[in-house]
Amino acid sequence: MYSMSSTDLPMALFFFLSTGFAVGFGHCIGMCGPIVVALALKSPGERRLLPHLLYNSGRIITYSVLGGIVGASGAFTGVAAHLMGVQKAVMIATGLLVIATGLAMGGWLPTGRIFTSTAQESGLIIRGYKRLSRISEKPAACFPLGLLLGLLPCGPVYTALLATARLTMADTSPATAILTGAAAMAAYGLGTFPALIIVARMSGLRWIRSRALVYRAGAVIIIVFGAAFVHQGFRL
Amino acid sequence: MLGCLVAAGILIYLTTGAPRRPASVSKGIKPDCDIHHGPCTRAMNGASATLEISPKPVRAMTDLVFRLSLTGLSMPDAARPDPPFIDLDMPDMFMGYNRIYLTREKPGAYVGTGVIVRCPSGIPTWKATVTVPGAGEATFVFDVIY
Repeated sequence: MYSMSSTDLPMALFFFLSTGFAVGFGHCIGMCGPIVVALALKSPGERRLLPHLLYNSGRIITYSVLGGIVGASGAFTGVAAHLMGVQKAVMIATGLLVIATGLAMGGWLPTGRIFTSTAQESGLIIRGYKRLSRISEKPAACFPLGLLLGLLPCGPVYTALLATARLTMADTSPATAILTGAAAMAAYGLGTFPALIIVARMSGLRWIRSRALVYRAGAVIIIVFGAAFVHQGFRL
Repeated sequence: MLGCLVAAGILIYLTTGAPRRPASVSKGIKPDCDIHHGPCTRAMNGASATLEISPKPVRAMTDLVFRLSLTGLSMPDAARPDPPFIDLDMPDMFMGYNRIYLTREKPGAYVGTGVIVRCPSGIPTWKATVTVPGAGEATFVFDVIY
């Protein structure tokens, strides 16, 4: 299974899809759960699924591009070395974003809670922050966010890229290798989708959102995770 | 109140990644092999398996050579259905499927190349499970350098 060539492409894609599915429930829920919960809590109630579809589409496209690059180069470690600096920056930026979301959820920012409409819009900073918040709350903003966060350093993604390099090694045509690599990583990303959607649906439940205490507890957890992201980003 | 507690429990469960640390493996698995300073040997159903990884020190995200020596096996190399392979994973966290297939260098000696990926959590402990089809398994737990 692991040493298959791209002539067994359907079987290989199924392997990547099922690996993504297993990784989604065995790894992503823990590591990416805070990001998904933050997205769910920011999303308006009536269009709760759309931001996640867009976010995950962006993430899967980034994985596909990485798969294509690994397919073209035929070497995992070379690509990974070039990615490291970008991934470090993305991880730190994501951590800061998650912290800001947690602080806003808990109402600990000077502007008040960004998820309620009760805060007064007075002053340049508050108005600017509110405007930024409104843009970030639009579902369309989740697509570029997914594109960016697809670059987050992640062990199982590295493993999938490693398997992609092995898969495309036998391809004689660079175009075939690029397409095979992109398809393999797209299948992997699709496999991780169900777990993250389930987390999004559960954390977006109205009965959870309506409890102030839970909301604050969630905010604290999200802030802690954001700080961990920043810390790990600096250690990379 | 009960509803709040249940909701908090669900939220904490979802955000702390409880599923990634099954109770059976999260505690007590510590490195049992100093792979940076030499090969490690494990007993395997009356035989022994020796694993060597180079270059040293063993770093993540670099191309590595895995060498396996088997001694005391009752079944000769040629009689075994498939060559041995090594599965790399972390004891505490599922990191996807990373398998290295080995090829025979000489009788009882196998070699293969692979990469140990980096875990952004910073936890350096990895597990290599050597499987010799028809003979058994041996597990090596060691730290790598990130």
